[in-house]
Amino acid sequence: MELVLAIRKISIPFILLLLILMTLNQWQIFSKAQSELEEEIAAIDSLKLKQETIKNLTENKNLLADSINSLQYMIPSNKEHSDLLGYLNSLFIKHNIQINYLEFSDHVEKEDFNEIPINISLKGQYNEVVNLLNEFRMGNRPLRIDELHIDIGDGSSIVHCDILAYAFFRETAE
Amino acid sequence: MNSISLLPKSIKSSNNNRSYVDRLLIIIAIILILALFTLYIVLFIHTRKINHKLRLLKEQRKAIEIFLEDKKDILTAKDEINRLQGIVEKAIGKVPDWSALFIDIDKCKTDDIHNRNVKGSFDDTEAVIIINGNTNSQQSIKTYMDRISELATVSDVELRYIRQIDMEDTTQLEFEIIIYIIQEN
Repeated sequence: MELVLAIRKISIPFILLLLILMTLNQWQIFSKAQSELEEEIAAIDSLKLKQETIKNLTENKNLLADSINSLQYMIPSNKEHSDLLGYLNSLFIKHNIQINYLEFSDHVEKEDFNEIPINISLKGQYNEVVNLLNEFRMGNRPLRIDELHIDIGDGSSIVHCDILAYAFFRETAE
Repeated sequence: MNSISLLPKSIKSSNNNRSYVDRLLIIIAIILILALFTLYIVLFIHTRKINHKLRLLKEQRKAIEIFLEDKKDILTAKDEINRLQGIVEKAIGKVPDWSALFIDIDKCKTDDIHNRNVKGSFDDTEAVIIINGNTNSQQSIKTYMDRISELATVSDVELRYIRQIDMEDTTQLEFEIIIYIIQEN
């Protein structure tokens, strides 16, 4: 009888301790699984966002190709002086601008691109010169105008304009 | 048959108390064991559910990754567009929209203001327009400058000089003003 009592006295705390340890262990497993699940959900959400973007882009695949082409034209891979000259010439003709002087200086290397300084001396109607400046900024091949001087004179409709503009290309020409 | 205890009353009462406390402790221990066991079972079931969900999500992720791998060229194209746009924006910088500025400044002129020379210059820190012109009165220049300073793209307007062109004619004035442009972000 005393032995039974002794066993009972030992076994109850033992079972209790064992259960506590098992529950703690299970809690750790549960917490780990829970955090893994949260990480997985976050990863899936980010991937789903990418998937959605790709689905939208796939629907506008032609638009994507057009964007790349127009950007590659905006900032070509090499300096392409003849293309640049052709582009400028088309703008001058469009706005009825007469060119007195045009100079492409040596290109300047920047961090991600190269700049071609262009000195332009031109004459034309004031409104057309202003429109040309707008086209330099917004056109297919944007130019940055750092300096300009418009000589309006004494009221004649034709104005003279000197411009220091910059065209761009991506890689070193050499 | 009745049993008779010959133990003193104080000892009998102490034994009764001890057996009561023992029973109470055993009941508490059993409740604790049951509670812990239930908790363990609940945790076990939840963990299994989570692991099942995790397995499904991993399969889903794998499928999405295969889809993304197949459409890698589209993502590459998109990245290239972003890269090129970044280069274009960096190359153009914060240069002012000269044509829009000239149009706005022209609208500020009074009838007797005539601009002869307009110079614009831009660098990373500053964009400035210098205007040389003629007018009949100082009041017109003031009005011109006031109107220009109200433009949203202009940060400040300064007068460099006003002088008579002809010493004997007070109505023929020439002037120079400097316009400081707000740098675009």
